[in-house]
This record gives sequence, structure tokens and C-alpha cells, in this order.
Amino acid sequence: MKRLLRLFPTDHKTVGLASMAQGVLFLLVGGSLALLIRWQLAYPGAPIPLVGKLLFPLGNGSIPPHAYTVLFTLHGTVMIFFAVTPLLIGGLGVYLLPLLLGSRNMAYPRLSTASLWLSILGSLSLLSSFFVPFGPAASAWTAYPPLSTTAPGAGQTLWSVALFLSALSSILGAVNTLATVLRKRAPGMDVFRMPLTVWGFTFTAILNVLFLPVLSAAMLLLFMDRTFGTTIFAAAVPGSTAHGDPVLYQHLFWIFGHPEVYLVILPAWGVLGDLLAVFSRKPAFGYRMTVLSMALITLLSGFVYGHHMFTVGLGPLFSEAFMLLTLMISIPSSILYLNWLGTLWRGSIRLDPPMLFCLGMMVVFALGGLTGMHLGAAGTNLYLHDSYFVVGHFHLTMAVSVLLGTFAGIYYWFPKMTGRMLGKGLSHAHFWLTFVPSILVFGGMLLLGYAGMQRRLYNPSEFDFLKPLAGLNRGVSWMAFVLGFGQLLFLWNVVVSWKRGLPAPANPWGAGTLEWLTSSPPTRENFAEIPVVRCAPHVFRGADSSGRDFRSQIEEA
Amino acid sequence: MMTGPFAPPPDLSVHGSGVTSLFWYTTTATAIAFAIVIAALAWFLLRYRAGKNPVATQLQGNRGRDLAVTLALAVTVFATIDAVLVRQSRQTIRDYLGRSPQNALKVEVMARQWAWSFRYPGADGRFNSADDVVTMNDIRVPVNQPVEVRLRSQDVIHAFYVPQFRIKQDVVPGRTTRIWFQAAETGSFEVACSQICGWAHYKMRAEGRVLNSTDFEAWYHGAQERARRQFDPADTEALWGWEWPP
Repeated sequence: MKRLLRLFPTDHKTVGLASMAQGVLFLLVGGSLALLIRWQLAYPGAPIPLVGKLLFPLGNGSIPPHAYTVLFTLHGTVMIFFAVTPLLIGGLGVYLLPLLLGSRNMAYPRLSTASLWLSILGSLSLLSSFFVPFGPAASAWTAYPPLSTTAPGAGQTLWSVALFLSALSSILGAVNTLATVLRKRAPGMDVFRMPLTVWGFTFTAILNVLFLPVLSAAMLLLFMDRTFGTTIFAAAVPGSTAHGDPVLYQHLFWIFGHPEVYLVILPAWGVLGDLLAVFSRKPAFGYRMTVLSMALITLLSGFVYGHHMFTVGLGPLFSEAFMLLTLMISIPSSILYLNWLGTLWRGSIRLDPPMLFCLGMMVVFALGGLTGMHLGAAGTNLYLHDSYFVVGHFHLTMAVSVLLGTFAGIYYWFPKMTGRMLGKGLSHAHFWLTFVPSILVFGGMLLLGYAGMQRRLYNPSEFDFLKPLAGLNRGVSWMAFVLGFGQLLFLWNVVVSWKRGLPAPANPWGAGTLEWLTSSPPTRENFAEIPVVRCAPHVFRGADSSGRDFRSQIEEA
Repeated sequence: MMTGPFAPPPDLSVHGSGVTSLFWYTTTATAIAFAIVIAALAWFLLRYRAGKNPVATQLQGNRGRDLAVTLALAVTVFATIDAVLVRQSRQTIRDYLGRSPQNALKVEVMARQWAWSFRYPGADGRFNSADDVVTMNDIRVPVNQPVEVRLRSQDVIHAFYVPQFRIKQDVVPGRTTRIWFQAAETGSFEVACSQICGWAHYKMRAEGRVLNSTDFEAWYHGAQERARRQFDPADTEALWGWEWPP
């Protein structure tokens, strides 16, 4: 019985670490799928060396067209729902929130474990689709009907179940987060004394409770169309008895889908805001303005989804309205960005590994954010929609920026989680092998998109106008292989340092936030005594006799 | 215009330059913004790194002046970039999605997994009549004449993408969508599907040709003759066209 209960941990640290392990595992799965996609685009139809025959016996070692559609469908699904979400939100978020707020646990410890298990069950549902006739889902991560409603086999159904469970997991996690932020703050922890990381996870939780129910609804309806023969998303065409509309699904999917982008990047922005302050030895510039900008972006993110549907044919007014709303996001985003620069300005900047990842994220996010303008403008979208320009853009924002922010957080809090430091050399190597290839891979994709290449093509050389792009595609793929290799360094570093890393000092980065008041790793109760907060998260002063230049949040500023 | 291997295919259309010029305006404006931001970042890293600046100046960034400067910069970005994008985009989407001129050649497009069928109304100007010209994966249009296509799908969602005209329009089962374009030069183009529509999505391709009006008329006339000879009113499956509402 006791052993069984250990499968259902209620301590936020155990849940957080388990969720992060799940995230890293699926990051490997999703990353491997990406590399297979890139192999096919570099060498269309060529057998894959070493593992080809094992993975694709039917293709005699090369990827058959149907398998290719499965690869990109699962790559997107796995990365968003089962890699980034558990790693960042269910993992890092659940691990950190009580520590940053000065609490012993999340508000609802059993909800934490329920959220973890729902996500694991979701991922099992997805993985089980490999073993059913016709294989896993193959209608892209967006699964537009009627392609998804008419796909044979159980794969697409299991896919909808997987997303439903993942959505449920996120909703429960978000309720838990909001309750924790509202009820479990240590005495004196006013909302405007919370670290920006907490703000990031809070806004994410708000988006989760608002918009993940929409995804669950879409998945339920898709499930019903596939299983019970309803025709909610089936078009009313002559000769059929259906009365539905495939476009209805797109509205539901993107009402969720666009906030999802912000939902994963908000915590990364929060981490960035805090870490820039710590490594510049200055408070976060314009803290309240930053919080307000994040709030505005959270609000606006619910009103811009229509730009995913510019080409559906809903009329010029639809495009104009959503274009204006979309481009308005540039105002709070600019403020946010200027405040990050303001934090660095006149600071005393230390380039420890977490800071490198933060600075890398700033560069990549600038690229990703600015290329969003080409897509938000309905005029250029006409040409760029569903092209590799889109693929490059959203990977720069919601994949690379988010992962760089997540890595920054992991490098920063690894000493807290394990009591040991990550190896410095490997950390630097990992940074450069992530930052540089990412820009080349996804920058290359922007070029491919500008040259007209559509997404989700098994073999671009079918089209005359894409034939000149073979070399660029090959270059992008090779950079992607380097990027993939770089991530192995991270894994190696984590495994080795966890066991044999240098023991971490009690407060390795000299930060004032509450998590550094307790032991590393923290005890089950986190704090022997609940701390009383007396100042903002980042207060620095001239160094005292012991060289300490910061105030802990329990001290008077 | 950028040329070379990474450039878009040649622009054969009247309106395409609007899309391309907007693309380059956006690229230039955002490149300037990016350069400024990165220059500031690099400058701060050089000037304020711990070795050079051991003690940070404790700025809160909460004073009225800080807020005013930040807000002013953010609004400047919006006014110089976004406002232009909105204005230009409105023109472009109205060009393509608005009403086509009276003299437009009408063409119906039926998309299915994984082919494009095209139907021209013939001399009588009506669809589903004996002189309809029907082609598969082959579209020919006259130069300097507007062409309006209306699109339907037999199965899943597809998207009608013509890179040489800089246009894209989804084809949704149960709906009729439309877009119009006008070729400015003769030459060949490709119609691609840009919405995943199954495993052979990548093979869904039609060959297009922009012909001068003499060549187009010669082809169109001959094709109508052949169509009339082969017309079989009992073959209802071949009559997949539809009347256009006035």
C-alpha cells in the first residue's frame, strides 16, 4: 500500500521533478521525430543510415509518404502537449511556485498528482496509437476535419483522447496554481513583491483555465464525430445528411491554439525577467509595467486567433479586424522588451550559464516576434500562410525562445533541486550548440518560406519552383542535426552533475528570493518556519563587509 | 527585389508586387528595429559587464520619465510599422478578395484528394453546359484579363496556392470560396495545395500557363469544339459545375 502511494506523490517537488522527467523524455521523442522529418527534406526518399530499416521496414529503410505525415503530426503534438507543457508548466512551475511564494506545498497537493497522472495517461494514449491498425494520427497537430474525422483506424481517436486528457491535466494544474498564488503566499508577500516568474505562471494559469476547456470541447466533439457518427464538423454537402461545418472546428481549435503560444512563453518571460535582474545585480526595470504588459498580452491573446484563418475565406472584414488586434500585441511586447534592456542598462552583468540562455532568448525572441509582423499583416499572409515562413516564425517564438527560457530556469534552479552545480564547460557548449544552430535552422526556414515552400510537404522537389531550394533544405537539416546533438550534452551534464557535480553553495547566484533561504534540495516542508516577506524580490545594495550585495526578501529593503 | 536561389518564383501577376513590396517594407522596418535592439544589447554587454562595471546603478525604472520613454518607443514602433502594414494589407486583400471586374474570365475549381479540376463556361458563359471546357491539373489563363476562380472541394480541405501570383485561398467542403487574379506576363506557373490533405498532399499540383490572348482564344475555341462533340447529358457525374449566383 505504501509503495503504491509513492506512485501518487503529493509533494510539489516530487511532482515537479516527475513532470520534468516526462517532459525531457518527450522532448527526446519529439526531437527525434523532427530529425527524421529533416532527414526526409534533406534527402527525399533516401534510406536513413543505421536505424532506417528498423524504423521503416515497409519503406525499406526510407520514410514512406504516409509515415512522413505521422512524423510531423506527432512531432507537433508531442512537443506542445507532452514535452514543453509538462517540462515548463507542470514541472518547473509546480516545483518552484511554493518555494518562491514561501509556502510548504501547492494549495491542492492531490490535484498536483492528478494533473501529473492525467498528462501521463494522455501520453500513453498517444503512444498506444502506434500499435493499432493504420497507425497513429496523420492529419497534422491541428487535425482539421474532415481529414481528421474521416481518417481510418483508431489512431486519430486515441490522439483526441490524448489531447483531452492533457487539457484536463492543464486545467487542474491551473486551478491549483491560481489557488496557490491566491491563498498560499507567505505573510508580507504582496502580489507586487512576487518574482516575475510567479507572475508568468499565474498568467499562464489564467489562460489555461479560460482556453483549455475550449480545446477539450473541440476534442470531445471530434471524438463524437469519429466514434458515434455525429456530424458536427461534417459539411452539409449534397448527397449527405450532415449539417455541420468543418470551419467550426477551426474556430474552436484556434481560440485555444493562439493563447497556447502565449501560455507557454509567459513563464519563460517571467523567468527571463527575474534572471536578468539577478545577473545584472539590479531590480527588474519597470517591474509593474512589465507585469502590466504581461497582463495586457494575456488579455489580447484571446482576441487574435483569427489570423490563423486569414485564408479560410471569411471575408476582408474578418481579416482586417484580426489583423489590427494581432498587431496591437506589438505595443505591450515592445514595453516588455524595453524593460528587459532597461534591466541590463547600467547593471553589473555576470555571464553565468543561466544568463547566457537568457540573453540568447532575448535575441531569438526578437527575431521570432518581429517576423510575426509579416504574418499578422493580412496582405503578406496571403503569400506566406501555411509556408515555411510560419514554421520558422513559430519555432523561434514558442519553441526556441520557450526552451531557452526553460533551460535558463533549469540551469538556475538545478543547484536548488539537487544541491549540485551543473558542469560549466558542458553548459557553455550546450548553450552555443543550441543558440547558433537554432537561429540557422529556423532562420533558414524563414528563407524557405519567403521562397514559397509550403509546410508539410513530403517531397518539395515535386514542384518546379521549389527545386532550387534543395541545397538550403539540406543546410537547414544539417544544422538541425547539430542542434539535436547539442541537446545530448545537456542530458549528459544533468545525469553526471546530479550524481557527481560540485556541491552547490547555499545561494550560488546571490539572489534574494525565498527559495534560497532553505536547504538544497529543500526539505519536505520547504521552510522550517514560514518566512515573513519584507521587500521586493530583487533588492541590491553596495556590498557589505562579507561581499554580500543583495537583500533577502525577508529583510527590510 | 532579391533574386537568386532563395527568391520567390517570378511574379506573373498585376497585384503580386503589392504583396512583395509589403513584405520588403516589413522586412526593412523590422530589420532596423532588430538591429537597434541587438546593438543596444551588445553595447550593454560590453559596457556593463561585471569586469568593467563592478557596481550596478540601482534604477527601478518606475519613474514617470521611464514609463513615458518606454511607452513612447512602443507606440512609435506601432505607428511606423503596424499602421503601414494595416493600411497596405487592406489594399492588398481588397484587391484579391474584392469583387472582380466585369470582364473577368470565370473558372470553377474542384479540389479533391489529390488533383485539381478546372471548368471554363465556354462561349455561352454558363457552367454545366455542352461547351464547358474541363481540364485536370491543367489551367490556362489569358494575359491581361482578370480571372475569377470559385473553389469547391469534394472531400477534405485543400488550399489553392499560386506562388507566381502571390495568392492562396482555402477550399473548404460545404462552402464556395473565391479569389481573383490578373496575369501581367505570359509564362508558366504552378498550382500547389498548401493545406495538408492526406499522404499525397505533396503531389497535388496543377500546371498553369499564361497565354497571350490569341493563343488562349485558339486553345479555348478548340477545346469547346471537342467538348461539344464529346458531351453526354446522361453522364451526370461529369456535370459537377454549378451556377454562379448573380
